[in-house]
Amino acid sequence: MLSVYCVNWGTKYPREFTSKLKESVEKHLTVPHKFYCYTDNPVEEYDVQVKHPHLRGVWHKLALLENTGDSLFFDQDIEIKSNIDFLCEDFDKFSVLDSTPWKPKNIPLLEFRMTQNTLVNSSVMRWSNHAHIFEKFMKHRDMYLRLYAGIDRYIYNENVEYSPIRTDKITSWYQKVDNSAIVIYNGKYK
Amino acid sequence: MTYDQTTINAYKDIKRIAKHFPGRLLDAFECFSQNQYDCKTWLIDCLNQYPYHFKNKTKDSIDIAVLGGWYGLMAKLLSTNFNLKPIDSIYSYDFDPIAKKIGKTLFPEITFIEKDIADLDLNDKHFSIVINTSCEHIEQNLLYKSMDTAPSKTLFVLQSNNYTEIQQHINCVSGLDQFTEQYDSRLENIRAFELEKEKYTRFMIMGVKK
Repeated sequence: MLSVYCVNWGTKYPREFTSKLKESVEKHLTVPHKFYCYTDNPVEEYDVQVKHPHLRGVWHKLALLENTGDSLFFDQDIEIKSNIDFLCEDFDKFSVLDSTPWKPKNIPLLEFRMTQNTLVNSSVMRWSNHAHIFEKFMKHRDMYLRLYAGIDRYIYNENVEYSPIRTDKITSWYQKVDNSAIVIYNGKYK
Repeated sequence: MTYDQTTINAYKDIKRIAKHFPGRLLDAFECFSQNQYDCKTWLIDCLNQYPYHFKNKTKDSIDIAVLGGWYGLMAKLLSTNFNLKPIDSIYSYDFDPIAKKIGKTLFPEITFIEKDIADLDLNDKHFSIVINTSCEHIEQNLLYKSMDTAPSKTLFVLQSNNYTEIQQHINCVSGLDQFTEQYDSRLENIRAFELEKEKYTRFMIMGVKK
């Protein structure tokens, strides 16, 4: 069965974000699935204690890749507005969003490379058997945590093999598009 | 600011890193920051006063290993400021291949070796002194494992801190007592030091392997 994951670590997102996400997944995903929330504060029956206490924040997203089988991940700060069955394909690849459509186009190349910037976004991820990506990270975790502000930069700059999800059904709030199935609010909640 | 050939050379180095390894430029600035400099010169000042005997101390010159050497700041400062003995070679170990490339560019006199501490055998070479200034970043069992590969009478210099707010700091100590106790069974003639920083305290011990 398809597994749908999210992570709620720390205090950035109140519990309501998770329950709202779960409800919207149930409403807009017709494929049979089971919902899990990895958290440092498990309270609901679908909660799972995070497995790597040394990690913080977004890095727990990467740890989800330890889970095998057809899997989807959604960030807490996304809005699902209509059917998302279109995501249930190509699980054999590790897929993340292509952030090019909303990325500022005027970042100088040197600045882009110096800041280890990225053209991927992990607000939505899809995978099945990709534990090796997390294993590589864990092998030299100390260096990667020093070099990268988050997993999007890690994935892009460490040449992790990924497949970009390119669809107008998923947009960023920066784009101000009303009719997409999923809107990601990347950078809205600090 | 004094503008002289040293300044020009520093800018040349920055330009080279920016050109060949742009993603590492900010990391290199951190490596060569005031804080890093202070902690490492403090180490050398204390080391220069270490009174006890250690391996090969009576030889004409000695070899020193720096573990987790990053871009080579510790090794470079040792090469110019260490005065207990003449140095034959300084080996800077780091698992990061880019650290080795940048380090070799900046400090060709240092021997940079790409190796994970987990795979290290300190018996391979005749080090008199082994330095690790990043114990807070490394699991304790790995620290013990690397130490256990070294011959008896090797002088170890170790630094850690109590700065738990940093995600990479997975093995902080609460104080100098805890840090010393961790190595009581492996080291003798231990000297312990602490350095108050703005946000944390840095701890250092040096002792000879039993």
